[in-house]
Amino acid sequence: MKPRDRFAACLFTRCCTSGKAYKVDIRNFDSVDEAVTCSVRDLNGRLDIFVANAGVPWTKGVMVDGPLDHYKDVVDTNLDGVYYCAKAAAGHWRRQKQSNNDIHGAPLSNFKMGSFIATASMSAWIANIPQLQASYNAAKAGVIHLCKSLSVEWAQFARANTVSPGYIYTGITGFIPPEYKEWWQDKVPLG
Amino acid sequence: MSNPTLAPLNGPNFNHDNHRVTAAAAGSIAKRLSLANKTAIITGGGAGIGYGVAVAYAEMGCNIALWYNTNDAAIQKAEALAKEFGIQCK
Repeated sequence: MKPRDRFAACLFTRCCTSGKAYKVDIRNFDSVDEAVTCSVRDLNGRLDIFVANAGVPWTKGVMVDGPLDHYKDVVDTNLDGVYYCAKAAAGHWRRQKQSNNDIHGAPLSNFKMGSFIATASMSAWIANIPQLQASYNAAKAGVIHLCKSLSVEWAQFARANTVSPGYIYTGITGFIPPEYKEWWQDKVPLG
Repeated sequence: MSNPTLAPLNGPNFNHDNHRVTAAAAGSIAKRLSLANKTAIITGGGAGIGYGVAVAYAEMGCNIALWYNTNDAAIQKAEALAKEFGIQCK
């Protein structure tokens, strides 16, 4: 994990916001855990919101022919990654709620509960066409039920929710043929 | 503290000891929506939906960590957000 501008960030005591970027492979729990701690320490010593948004598409057609390593990558990133982020973040929220202190031991102000927001997908609810992506759909459905379950576990210190986007014009659909996108857009009533 | 581990349940019964805050005590909607002095981590935050969320949070005054895996452009985007919504970040 390579945080950027770590030293520069320390100089800014009157920053309205500070933004920092971290290279993290979320398929590895230890990387995620370390990165949460680094992010919290580098910014203002506390964690309020975790947006578990990172995801990858299934790009290899029908599953009966699709490579297993691609399957593993899709599920590792889209489901396991979300789980690891949830586990790491919840550790901080529970500690913050128990102690009412930030990571440096100073009192926290205006912390009620942590907020975990995972980007699921329309694919968690229906099976998309014409592109076929069963493992992506399954992973996203898993994200939704994971967050429902976490919302019960974390009731005393954090909330967990998901957002299920439809087709959004971003890089994740870069591999999709343009005629598919026209078909998708035709099906959007407001489109 | 009666529930030091912050377990949600005591046997089959939920622990309902959260304190409700009155609307008057919580303050205006603008204040409640503000993320001033709060911190967010956004995975896949360098592009797409994640970056859209980052811009919105930055507008609300949030400190943000953008996590990326292969999208190195996240680094410059993080710096740009800090610059636009706060003081300069080198």
